[in-house]
Amino acid sequence: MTRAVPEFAVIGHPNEGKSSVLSTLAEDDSVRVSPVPGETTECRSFPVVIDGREVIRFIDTPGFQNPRRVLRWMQEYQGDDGAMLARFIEAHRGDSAFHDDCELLAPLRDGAWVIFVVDGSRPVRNVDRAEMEILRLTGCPRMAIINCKEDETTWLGQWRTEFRKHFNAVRIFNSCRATYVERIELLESLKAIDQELQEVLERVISAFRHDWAARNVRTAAIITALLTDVLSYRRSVTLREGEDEEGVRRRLHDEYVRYVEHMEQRAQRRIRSLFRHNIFDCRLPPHSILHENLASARTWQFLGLSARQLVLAGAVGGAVIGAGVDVAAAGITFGVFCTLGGVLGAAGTALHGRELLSGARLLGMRLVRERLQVGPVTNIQLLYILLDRALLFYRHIINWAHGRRDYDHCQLPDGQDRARHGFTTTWDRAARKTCERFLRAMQQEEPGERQEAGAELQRLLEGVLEEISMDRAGPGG
Amino acid sequence: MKTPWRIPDILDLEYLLARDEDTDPVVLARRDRGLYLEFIRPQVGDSRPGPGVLLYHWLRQRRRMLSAEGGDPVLPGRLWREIHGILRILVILAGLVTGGGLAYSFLAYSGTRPVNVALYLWIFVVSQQFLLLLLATLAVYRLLSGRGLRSSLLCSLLVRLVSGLLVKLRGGLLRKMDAGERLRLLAVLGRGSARLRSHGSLLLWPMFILVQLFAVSFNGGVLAATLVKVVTADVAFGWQSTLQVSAAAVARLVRLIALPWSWFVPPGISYPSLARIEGSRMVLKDGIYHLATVDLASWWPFLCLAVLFYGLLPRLGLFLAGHIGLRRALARFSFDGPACSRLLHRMLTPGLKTGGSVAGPAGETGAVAGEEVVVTGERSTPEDAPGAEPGDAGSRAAASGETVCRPGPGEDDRIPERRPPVPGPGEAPRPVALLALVPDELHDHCPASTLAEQVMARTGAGLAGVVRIGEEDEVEDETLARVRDLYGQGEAGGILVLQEAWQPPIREFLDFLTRLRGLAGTEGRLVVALVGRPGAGTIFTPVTELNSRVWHQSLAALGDPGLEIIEMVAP
Repeated sequence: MTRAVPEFAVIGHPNEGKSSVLSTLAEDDSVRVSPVPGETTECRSFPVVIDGREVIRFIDTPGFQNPRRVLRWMQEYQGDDGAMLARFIEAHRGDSAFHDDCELLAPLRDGAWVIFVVDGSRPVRNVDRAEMEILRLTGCPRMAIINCKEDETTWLGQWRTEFRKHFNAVRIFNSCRATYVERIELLESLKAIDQELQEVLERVISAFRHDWAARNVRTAAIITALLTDVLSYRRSVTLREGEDEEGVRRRLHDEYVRYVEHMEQRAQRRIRSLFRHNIFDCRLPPHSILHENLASARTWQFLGLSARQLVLAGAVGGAVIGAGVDVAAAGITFGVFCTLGGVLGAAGTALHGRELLSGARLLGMRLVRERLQVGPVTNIQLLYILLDRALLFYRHIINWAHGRRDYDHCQLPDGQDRARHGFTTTWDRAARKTCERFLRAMQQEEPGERQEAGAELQRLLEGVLEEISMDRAGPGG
Repeated sequence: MKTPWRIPDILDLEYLLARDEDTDPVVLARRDRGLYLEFIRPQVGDSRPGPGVLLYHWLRQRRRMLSAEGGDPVLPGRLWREIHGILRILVILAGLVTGGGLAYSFLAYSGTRPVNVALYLWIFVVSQQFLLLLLATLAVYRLLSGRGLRSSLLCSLLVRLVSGLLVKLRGGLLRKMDAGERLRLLAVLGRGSARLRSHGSLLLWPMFILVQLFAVSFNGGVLAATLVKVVTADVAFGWQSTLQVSAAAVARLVRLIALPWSWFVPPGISYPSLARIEGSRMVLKDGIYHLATVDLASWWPFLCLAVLFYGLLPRLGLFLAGHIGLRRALARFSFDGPACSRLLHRMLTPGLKTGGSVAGPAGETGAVAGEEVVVTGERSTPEDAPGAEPGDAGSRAAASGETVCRPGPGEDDRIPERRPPVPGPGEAPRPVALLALVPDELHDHCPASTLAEQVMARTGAGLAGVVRIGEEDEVEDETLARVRDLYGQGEAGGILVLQEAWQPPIREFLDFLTRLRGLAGTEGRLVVALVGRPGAGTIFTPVTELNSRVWHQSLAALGDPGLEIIEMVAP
């Protein structure tokens, strides 16, 4: 018996990661996942809806509580094979000891396909064999997923051998580490369960891909909007008589840094929500670029910018930069000034710390007829820093599986050493030219050029995001 | 030697044993063995005391240690004493106030209508008699059915309440909780239920005594209020009835009621005479003006004596019976629980160290000086365990060199092992040999020598045999039948089930344990021995903290007070 909407029941022993697999596959972090066995006690549906119509449905089920007893009952069953599951459920419905078993077998009775999940980091036991035998007796088309909850691979061979006897297809899928590509691959492998699933799964996979591409487009738009806001920031303040000019400069500086942080966090929230993360928030390791202050010396080092690069970059952006500046040293030496200097390309002034506050330009900050004017930003480094941060954030968000719940252990996939370079450092000349054009457009008041430069940057970003999703780009490879 | 165990002592013992659950077993073994050698053995000498005496001495020493460590520790026993003391005072006050208040207000007389004697008797005597009758019926029922106070109405009601609550929770609330919370709650309920089963009578006697104290105070209050009212006010007593009851019939009833005291109290006082009864009959249409005062005042001694003999004295008797019952329950209290057994084992087992060591001061090893037995080859018998009870299977095996692992159906015979020595010259609880049930997958990787050592080190028991369970083609009933056969041969005094802790505790296994308990009986030991994930060359690997917690909670939820959980890790 097959339902109008194909159903895939995710079945297995308790605490093997069934809910975690589903949570990752369905990108739903509201699924209760816990290291304590017995978290799921009722079936829960995860429909895949395309254009308002449900096309397939995944069902999370509780784990087997009485595998040997269930198997014994089935082996002794004498009636019609097609009615076996219905008879079993009917016979045990009132028995609380069999609640979970009845619950998990109900979708199979209704004709669901089976995805059997095991934790491949543990050895095979007789109860597992009993469960596989139960599934064989049900006659439901099925595949197995080896979900290694730990890094242990000793038992994988044993599992594969066992699975060959019972399943149409076997796939390794780490529900805590699975990327977008691996999710798509898992969906692809579901086709192997039954030929009649090919068409519907093709549709689902295609929808998943389109949806992903659309999210990338929106992410690129969010990042472009962030850069537009931050780089075209302008503010002017009239200096009243006797007012401390240095104090006003400091205040303006602080305001700008706060503004950048605020805008960046807003963009990150949008990206996070786009990728359906409700609980997980990017809390990154202390040595990661993303945890560093936007402009600290470490950030510069992280981005792999040498003093010379900075000089050149600064020159491109039109900033005043003293020749041969050692930015990192200056950053450490000049503390707060370097912070701003790092952000705004005022490396030259950092070398001459005293000149920072009296310098002609900082953040494009200049005094015109008793009016202190700030912005627009003239240093392209800020653009690269913001871009790198946004792309790193994006990569971290898309690679944090929804079934993963060890938020306390949130770490970048790459250690600091591996990720010495930002994404943009590997960009070619054409990409850099796009960035330069965008920065220049932000300094101008002409809306047409702004729009065109923005669109060009967004196209560039869409390509980059696609590469990152496919795990073909990024710091450290 | 008789030990003065009281409820606060048992509470303290339970508390201290529970505290020890989280402490490193090596530290515990060293501490308890030290306490035994330094303080307890010098006191008990060669008197071969029972477990109760040893544990009582241990408790005293532990209290002393705690006081020395952290001033005046607040132990549950002390809390119990204080709360119980306050409760007694409150109960006495409540009894006096309710009894006195009720009687005082009942005896209000304004000169128009005398106090109705029948009503007084009904409220203050008959109702109490009814309650006493109910209590007596239940007591007789329990006596006839051969069940102790553990099966008392209150106890069974509480157990039923807890199980009913569990069923309801399972159906509704529990499913809404996350697995961790659910498991915690079920464990708490299970532990409560286990406590009720093992300590039911101990917990119920104090409640019984408090109830009797209330009743005594209530009757005291009634008597006092009646006497005060009689002395300080003019109270008239009379009787009335719509039925045409003759005064003679009432007099006969009154004499019947007064039987308990009429044989020694003068007739005029013990009950009113026929003439007085006749003279105190009230007919509402006639009023009371024609009735003689002496007749109306003739009832009060009879009423007071009725309250004394039917209310106060029976309750005093029950109060004393409660104390006797509590004392007997304390005397009968069993210290066979797993935690007590482990403690006794720690105290009575010499520190054992095998393997070479660099010669140095004895104190450096951390064991009690002069008590460590160093074994280089054959396992030696502990120095204070020269013999064992003649009837003990363990001693027979040790003496004759008999192997303990007898092959059962479906198992091999490749793992014979000598029964470990029996500790204690009769002072230790009788060591029981355990029948080990080893899962099919682990059986071939479980050397009997290691298993026997682990079992001995952690339970103090030897091995009566090893049974392979959980084979693919075997069903639970067949497994149980095999276990029953081997267990029934009389060698084993308990069952040990080896279980991998990384496997979740599923219903099937928990039910299997319950069935094993039925097989071993309430007196037999039932031990779940947890091991970790198979490691390099051994199955005796450490259990993770999470798995350990999950198993402890799941097994606690079974509510089996005698179920022991140990973890086996190869050195």
